Amino acid sequence: MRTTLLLLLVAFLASIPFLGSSYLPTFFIILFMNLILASSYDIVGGYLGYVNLGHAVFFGLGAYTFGITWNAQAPLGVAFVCAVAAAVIFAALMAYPFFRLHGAYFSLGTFGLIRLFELLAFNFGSLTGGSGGLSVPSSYRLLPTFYTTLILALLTLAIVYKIAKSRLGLAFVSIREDEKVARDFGVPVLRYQTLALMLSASIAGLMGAVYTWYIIYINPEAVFGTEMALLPVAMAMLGGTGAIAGPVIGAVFISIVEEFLWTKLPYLHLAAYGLVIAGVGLFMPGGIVRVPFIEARLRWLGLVEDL
Amino acid sequence: MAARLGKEFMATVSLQLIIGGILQGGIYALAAFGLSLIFGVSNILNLAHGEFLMLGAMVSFLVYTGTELSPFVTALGLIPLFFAVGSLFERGLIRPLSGRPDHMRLVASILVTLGASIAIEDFASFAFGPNEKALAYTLPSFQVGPIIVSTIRLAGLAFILVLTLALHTFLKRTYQGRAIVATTQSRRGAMLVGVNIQRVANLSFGIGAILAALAGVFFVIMFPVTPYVGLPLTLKYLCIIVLGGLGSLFGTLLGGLVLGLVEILVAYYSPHWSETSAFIILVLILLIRPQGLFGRFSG
Amino acid sequence: MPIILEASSISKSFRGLMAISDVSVRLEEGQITGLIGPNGAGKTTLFNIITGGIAPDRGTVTFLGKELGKLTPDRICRLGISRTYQLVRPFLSLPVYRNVLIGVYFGRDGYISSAKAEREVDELLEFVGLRDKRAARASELNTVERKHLEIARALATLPRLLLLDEVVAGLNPSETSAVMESIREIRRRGVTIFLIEHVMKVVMGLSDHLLVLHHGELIAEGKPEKVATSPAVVEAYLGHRRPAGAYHAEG
Repeated sequence: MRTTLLLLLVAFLASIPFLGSSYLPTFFIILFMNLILASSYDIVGGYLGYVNLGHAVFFGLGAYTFGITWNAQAPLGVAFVCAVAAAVIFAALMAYPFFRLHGAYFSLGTFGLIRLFELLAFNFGSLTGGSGGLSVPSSYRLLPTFYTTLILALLTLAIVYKIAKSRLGLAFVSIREDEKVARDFGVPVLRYQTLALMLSASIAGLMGAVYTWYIIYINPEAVFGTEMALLPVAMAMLGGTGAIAGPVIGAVFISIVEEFLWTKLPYLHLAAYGLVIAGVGLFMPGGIVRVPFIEARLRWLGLVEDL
Repeated sequence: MAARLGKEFMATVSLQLIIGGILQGGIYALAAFGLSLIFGVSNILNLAHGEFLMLGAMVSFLVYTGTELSPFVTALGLIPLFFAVGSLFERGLIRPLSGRPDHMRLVASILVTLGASIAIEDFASFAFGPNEKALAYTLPSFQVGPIIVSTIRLAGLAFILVLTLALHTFLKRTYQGRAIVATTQSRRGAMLVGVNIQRVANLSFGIGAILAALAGVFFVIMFPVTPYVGLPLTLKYLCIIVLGGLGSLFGTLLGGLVLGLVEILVAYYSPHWSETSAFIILVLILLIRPQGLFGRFSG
Repeated sequence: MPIILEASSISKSFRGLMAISDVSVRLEEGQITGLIGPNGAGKTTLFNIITGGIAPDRGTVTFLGKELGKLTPDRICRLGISRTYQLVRPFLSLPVYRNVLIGVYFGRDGYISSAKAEREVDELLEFVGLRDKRAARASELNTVERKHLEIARALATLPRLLLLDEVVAGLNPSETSAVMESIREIRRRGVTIFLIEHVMKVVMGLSDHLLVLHHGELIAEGKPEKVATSPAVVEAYLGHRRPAGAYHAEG
């Protein structure tokens, strides 16, 4: 029953480009991208329990690495691999210094890191094009991007689901609950922290590369900007962290709200957006998925784990 | 002869630079100090802190364009106003989160203060317009030897100095002030000796908002301000707090000064890199000395 | 009996304050060793040093002939030392069985299949009487249940040596005797036990060997009945006033 429902949903999503509207695939590409970023953020933010405000660093690294290597005549596949590698290697390098920080301090450090990357991208103009941005050759990519992001979104969810059900996920949440106790009970904490960050980075880095490939033009603000930094975190928290359905619901919600507010509200749409985010923080501890009515429905679908 | 002139010129320039740096650092320190108080007392990352600064700047801009009243006078009026703003902010948005477990509270506080920050920015942009506002307030400068001294900057420095002393006295001499300091050092300890943590948190938000708003007054005198300066500035203040040592108030002041000087000096040689210095310093400190340059180990 | 753990000349100070000073401890395999001492005597610090959470300033800990040196707590756990905490620290938002599962998966050497792991978790929960709370979140348990959960989680790592930090504090007499019975049963299964305890009835009832820490120094050790009545111990607990009656020193 559940499987059938989910399969139907996937089939519906896959058929969207054939519904005749060229607007719908564009919207869904954004939606999938938001979902991918929110879910990959949640590996570290929700399961490991470290609020990483610098998740977009991986996205931006992937985006720029892809653009730079592809422009340097690397084959497409190689450029994608380089993008993922850059994000993952950076994640491995930053793990040790950054995981010495805990709680709000970690968030603070990673928030500074993303800003540093934005400024570095501005300043290393010879490599990144600076404030002028970076362009890659264009061609028709709407449908390929649609299916790429759809597959990547499903893949991301599959990975997170697998993690949540496995002992890897158990190690992550034990660190979230009490790092010292986890270590006392045999969990090699730093190793799992690094692993979580690298997993999270690989997905975001790949998404960054796909983004550059699709959107053709990037600049420091678009990939490393404050808005980009906060978006995945806000979506995951809004939907509910540490549950597979959370970031999905958050991403769908934000994508629709943004789309709706942009078109319907002439002004103050950002204010409304801000108030919604603040309202969730105030009145929905644990995010939308933890509202009892919704949680019960999701549990039936097997989309909220006991984590 | 030429060499001597050059040297003298350099000395003048560097003195000007240093004065500018100290002033900029003082402004940073004011706002960052407030954020540090809030952080120390409530352990909350107040991402809306820069908005208090932006609002302070906007109000003093409006008052000045409307009445030509000196911003220094406006600043005095901002003190009760922003105490109320900060304290209401705590009451309405922060206190409701206080019962939640640590991790959930961190998540909720980020959502709430981030949401508030975005909303305040947009309301401000709607109310005041999205364009840059610069307050064209000047006072005649005077000359000491070869150095031209800007009276505004001097007055600004004096104001900051007085404020710092007042704050220092408040924190050292009054019961409420000492309760704040005690809470930043040990929340549990303060609770055990009967400090009303809620009131202290409320007070720290009130004071934090005042300091940020006053920093905003000086900010708008020196730089043009848009409704969107808040969040990037908050980030910079967070860097300063890390630089000075988490939870160390004295360190925050010093951190602000150091950053102000570094920025001005870097800007002199390479304007592009000035903005970057805060974040390079931040990351370097995290790598080398996570407890901050002047801080002590906490926890 | 062979020595399972030997701590030699351990010293540790915090910001100049001596927490433990030149303490040497030998635990015999299969025995229950009690550790008593007034508050602040350094008992928990000694536990933290053994489990690797705190590095001593001086001295070495040898477990099963292997020097622990700079091993991290997770390695030490997998070598076979496990513990409970004075103030219970279960993984609060996780279900009871997953708390224990963490010990099974990560606290042992080698791989264990999921099915076998789940079976062992159920056995352990049965042993501590939490079988029917299996799916409840640890935060929903009361203090007594949380203590039992901690014991189950510690046993899940298949320890050779179990450190118990005031497990009966806060329990009523019937709960206390139930826990004492569990501890005896754990020992019968071949686990060496080192326990910190304030309740004298429990220490005296369980321990084969008793150590007394005072101001970070080991002031007495030996058979429980002897140690408890030795002048140094009586003085440490009661001050300089000579106690009368049962506590009278027997030399």
